[in-house]
Amino acid sequence: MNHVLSSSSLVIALAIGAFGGVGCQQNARVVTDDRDKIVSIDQIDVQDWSNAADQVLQQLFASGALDTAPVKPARVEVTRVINDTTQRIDTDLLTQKIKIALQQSGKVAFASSDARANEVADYEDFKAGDDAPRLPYFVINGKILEIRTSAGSTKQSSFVFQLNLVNTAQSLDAWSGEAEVTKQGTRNAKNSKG
Amino acid sequence: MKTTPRLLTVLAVLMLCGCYANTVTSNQRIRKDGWLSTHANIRVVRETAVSDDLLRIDVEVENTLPFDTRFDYKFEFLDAEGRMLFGPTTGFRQEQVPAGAFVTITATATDPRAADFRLTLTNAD
Repeated sequence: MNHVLSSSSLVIALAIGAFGGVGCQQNARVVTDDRDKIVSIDQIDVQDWSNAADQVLQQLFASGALDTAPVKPARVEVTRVINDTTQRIDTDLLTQKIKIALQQSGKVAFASSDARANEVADYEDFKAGDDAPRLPYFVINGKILEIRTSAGSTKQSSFVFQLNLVNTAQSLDAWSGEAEVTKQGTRNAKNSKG
Repeated sequence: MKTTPRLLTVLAVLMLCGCYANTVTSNQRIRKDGWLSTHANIRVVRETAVSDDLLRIDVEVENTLPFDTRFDYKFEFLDAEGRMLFGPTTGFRQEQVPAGAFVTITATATDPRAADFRLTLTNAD
């Protein structure tokens, strides 16, 4: 009798386990809403790049620094964005968003880093007898930093995005901006509602 | 005979209604849900231009609840014809607002064609 009971208990336990396992599983889906994207405490999520780019762009447009260029669209180059975090990150995730937005504004044009395009442009200049180098009026550089702290089991990560717009004619910072994204919790969350 | 112009007018009105029947329009620029529908008071909406021709929107949102809370918001920009403009940084942001206090949320269009905006305020809890 005991043997029968223990066998049936085992079957029930396995069934519950199987149903529980199925219940926890989630089919893959495409996430388009930022609120449904995973929020991780210790790394920069895809929505954080967009948030940081938005913050610095709003500061840049409000400053009027882009309007100081004598020619529009002003030529711009992104030189270097230093990654001073513990993560291996591609800073193009920030700079590309900024490039798209600035180009969309019509105020600047970005110098291409494509070797073939530069070769063709050099040839065209040579044919036209123009030997003046194509110099950028502005240069964009920056740095991404990370500050971590914790209190008990609660962890907090702050990512700071610093950008400078340098006027190359005077070698002066025409504008400097900073954005911050801070996240706190004991573990990563499936969405922004926690 | 007198009824003919009246009939034509009625027909013209009906035809016009038919033409626009499939177009749902709304001039509601700010949409709210959850606690925001009743306890988020929009104090001020400022529309200005920055960097000459870029539309900037500042909206003051007041929390009339007796406790601190948070909400998500998203700005979208439209051109003069009402077409949605692509923005590389468009998306939901989150804001915390203390009890009885207000916060100012802002957005700047990256496209000079932006003529109008839409703001969605939604519950974050």
